[in-house]
Amino acid sequence: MTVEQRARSVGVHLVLIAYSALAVGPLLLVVMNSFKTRSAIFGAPLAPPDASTFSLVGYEKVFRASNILTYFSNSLIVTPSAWRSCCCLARWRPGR
Amino acid sequence: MALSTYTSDPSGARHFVGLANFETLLGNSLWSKPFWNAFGNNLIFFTVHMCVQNPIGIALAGLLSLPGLKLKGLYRTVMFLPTMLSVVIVGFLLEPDPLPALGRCREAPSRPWGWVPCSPRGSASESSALVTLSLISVWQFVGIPMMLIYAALLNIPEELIDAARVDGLGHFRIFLHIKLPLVLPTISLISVLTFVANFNAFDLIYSVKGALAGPRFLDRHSRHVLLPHLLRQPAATRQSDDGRSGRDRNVLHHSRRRLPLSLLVQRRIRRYALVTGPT
Repeated sequence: MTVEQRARSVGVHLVLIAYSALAVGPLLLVVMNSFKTRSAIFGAPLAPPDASTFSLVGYEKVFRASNILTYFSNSLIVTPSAWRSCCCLARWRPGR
Repeated sequence: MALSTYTSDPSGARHFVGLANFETLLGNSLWSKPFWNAFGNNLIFFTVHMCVQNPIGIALAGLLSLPGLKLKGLYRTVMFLPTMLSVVIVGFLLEPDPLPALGRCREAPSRPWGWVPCSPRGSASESSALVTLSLISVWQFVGIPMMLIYAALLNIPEELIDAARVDGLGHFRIFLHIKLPLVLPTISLISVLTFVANFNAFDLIYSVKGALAGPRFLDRHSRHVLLPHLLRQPAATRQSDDGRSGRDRNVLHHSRRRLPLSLLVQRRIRRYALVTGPT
């Protein structure tokens, strides 16, 4: 691999990494904020959770107060069946 | 379409009125002004997508399909992640804080994405709200053109590219002169999909600002696109209505992906009939 080729490959990776960071950054922020108390989320959204702001209250609420597992299993039923029928229809060639 | 040529009186009976409904929509300034406003906003929304989302998608697909690229699968997955999110999550996540509808601009934005510039008078600029919303949507949906073009690029026969390389073309010129013309059909397909998706763009505005994205801002608010505009109508008539608007809204919910424009016309006309009383 020549120097020029290597430089080009590094450039391509830099562009791809930059866009990946843009795409995934906000999502990571959501995950990080899910471990903080509500006031900490709105007070300092970008700060990582520390000893005073760490809390699992969000998860507690989700699992106790709503039937998230039922919702999820419903999605698990709907998605594969829709996907399955989509695939069947897409492969179907009339008159063959 | 057939329904749009009917009108109904408060008792629920339907009368055939021909094209009078369309005449009202386009001729009466009470209706035509917000209609064209919403239509123009949709056009801006669409233009931003065509100019930002699709070129970015094409460029990323071009980079991803370079031969011998490492970690291809990881990049692909990461870039497609936002597209799989629910629009509601994206709306809450990227809600630009100092929204013009609220007419305020806090000292410290409660969300990190308060990129809507604040004007000296203390309210965010309304003209930038639409572009911001468009860019949020671009951020989310850039994965779709990327994936479609990536698939099309992978389908190009290896011989063509080999021949071009033997003729002395570099990667970029191969992309520009060989690959791009071959994926043009896919690009036109993407344009159609973008058009359909953007003229149905309702959910993002709904999740950022809610169904009532400010009826008070009917004439000057720049975030009106056709569908939120539509949904507001039943809410506005709810108090004076006999419950019919709720049902109309359901009809709207189920069929809005098919015939948004004709339903828009119909909904408007219904509302008009309610306001002006029995015909």
